[in-house]
Amino acid sequence: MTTAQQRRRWTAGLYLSCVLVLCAAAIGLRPGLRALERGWTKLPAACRRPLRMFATERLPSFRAAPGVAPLETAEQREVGADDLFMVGLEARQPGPHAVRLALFVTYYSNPTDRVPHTPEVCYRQTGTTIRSLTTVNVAVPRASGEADTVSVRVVDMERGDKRQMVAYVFYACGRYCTDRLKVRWILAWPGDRYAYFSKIEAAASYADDAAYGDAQAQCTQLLREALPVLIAEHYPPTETLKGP
Amino acid sequence: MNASERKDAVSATPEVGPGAPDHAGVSVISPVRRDRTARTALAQLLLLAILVSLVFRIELRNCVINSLAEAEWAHALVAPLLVALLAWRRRAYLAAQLTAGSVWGLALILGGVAFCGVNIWPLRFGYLCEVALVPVLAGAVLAVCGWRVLRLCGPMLLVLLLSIPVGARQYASLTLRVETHTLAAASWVLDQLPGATVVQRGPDLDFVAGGRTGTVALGEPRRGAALLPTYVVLGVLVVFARVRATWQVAVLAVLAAPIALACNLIRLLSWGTVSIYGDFDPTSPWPRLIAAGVSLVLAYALFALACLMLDRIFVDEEELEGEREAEIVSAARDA
Repeated sequence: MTTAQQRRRWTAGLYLSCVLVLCAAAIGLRPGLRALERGWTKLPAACRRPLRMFATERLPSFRAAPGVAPLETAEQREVGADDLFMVGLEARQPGPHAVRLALFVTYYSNPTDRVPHTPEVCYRQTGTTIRSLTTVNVAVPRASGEADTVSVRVVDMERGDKRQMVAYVFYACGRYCTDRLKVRWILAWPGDRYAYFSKIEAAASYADDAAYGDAQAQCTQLLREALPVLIAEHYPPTETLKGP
Repeated sequence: MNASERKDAVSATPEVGPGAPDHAGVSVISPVRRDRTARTALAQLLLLAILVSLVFRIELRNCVINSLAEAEWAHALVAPLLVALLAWRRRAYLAAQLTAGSVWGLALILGGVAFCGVNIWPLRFGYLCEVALVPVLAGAVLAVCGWRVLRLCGPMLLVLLLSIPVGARQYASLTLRVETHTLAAASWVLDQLPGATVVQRGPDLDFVAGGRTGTVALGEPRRGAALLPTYVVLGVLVVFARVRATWQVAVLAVLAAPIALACNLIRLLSWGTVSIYGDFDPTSPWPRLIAAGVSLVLAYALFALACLMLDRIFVDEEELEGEREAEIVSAARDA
């Protein structure tokens, strides 16, 4: 290759374009994105009604079980949620197997909040062994009378001789999902002016394999009944997320 | 030079400069001219690489910080050296396959930069932003050196991709099933060891042996699924130490996952065995180091064995034909 050819290679349009694009990106990408962020960052959407005012009497199949202490502010800080609620429940008409239930709801209104661990990850750190991880569909009624088919993640665990099951789902800006990444995607997706997300867990403690079916049925039923109440009375209406 | 390497060398038809391929499909460009072209391309690539590192300066800094913080990703610190080693091993092929750059390289760079930008804001996926480095580098190679060189650079890009630390939460989610099964299998196997009783509690494998009690891999995060990217990087280095036929690469890619999973299990079993029978303090680093050493040596051996079997047992008729053709062309060129 002659010197002239080598010089041509350095000044070829394609190569120069690559250099220019990379120079522009090195200089302008982050400042440009920061400027966009200042104008378009989503704002926190406050809960319509505090979660501690959740009306358990609105659950047709369950009632509050005595002896479960509410979570305190310190625990709220530890979880990092803006609001949270936990209540022990029992079935109004108990099945053949003893199942203790709990409903645990966390609410995050800051779109930059970290989406929390899911139970299959965080329960293990307390010495729990995962037995199975499945996804089931639950028909959740809407106010209009129709029903949404919601995918719910069910984690079955054991700790020593105790069995525990958690059925959970995220509700982010009016959409259901079971995946942390999906929640982040919904929060980040441009369009709305306000954002929030919530994690709803129905937990059951049961004795042995014979009660597995009962536990799963009661967990999913609890979600089926609790979700419409949360959406109707506590979470911000989806139509208000776009802002004025 | 083996059959596939010769075949690759024969198929090399540089299209840079005025040298056109002759009727035998072999370039008539002189070696001196080819060297100059290769050196120019290398200098151009280095300049683009510097610019790419400026674009991704924050992501690269995060990679270094995360690699220093987590032994799991320590191989990321030597990734540039590994890439350089692979490039050096195949420098002759890279120079021979050099062609005019493709405009798709610029498209890849633009796409990679845009992908990174979207993941800085609004998506805020730090890992994906770091991953965008790989297509941008691939675009730089493609724009300067062409498609054939990009194909040869695949292993180097794979090493880079596997050296980008995945966030702790994401890694935990991705490896949950692997970790669950590995812990259960390790617990069962260790429980069969003479004089030892091992019980799994969550991610802990508690043992009682010879009047001593303890926990295997105490305090180790992700103890049931560690070093998986390191095994695969090791495999990439072993497999691509030389240029291979595509079918061999495909077979070895299929074997990579079971080999990495087997080594992961052996790591935990070695750790457990050393903890149960060795008289180590619970805070001693030795069981961990021994287990990592054993599993990495095993990974190397398994990948090397797989390559050896492919090289020795399966003889490709097409390769033999290529070898004969290469000999004829070589003789013609010498004449």
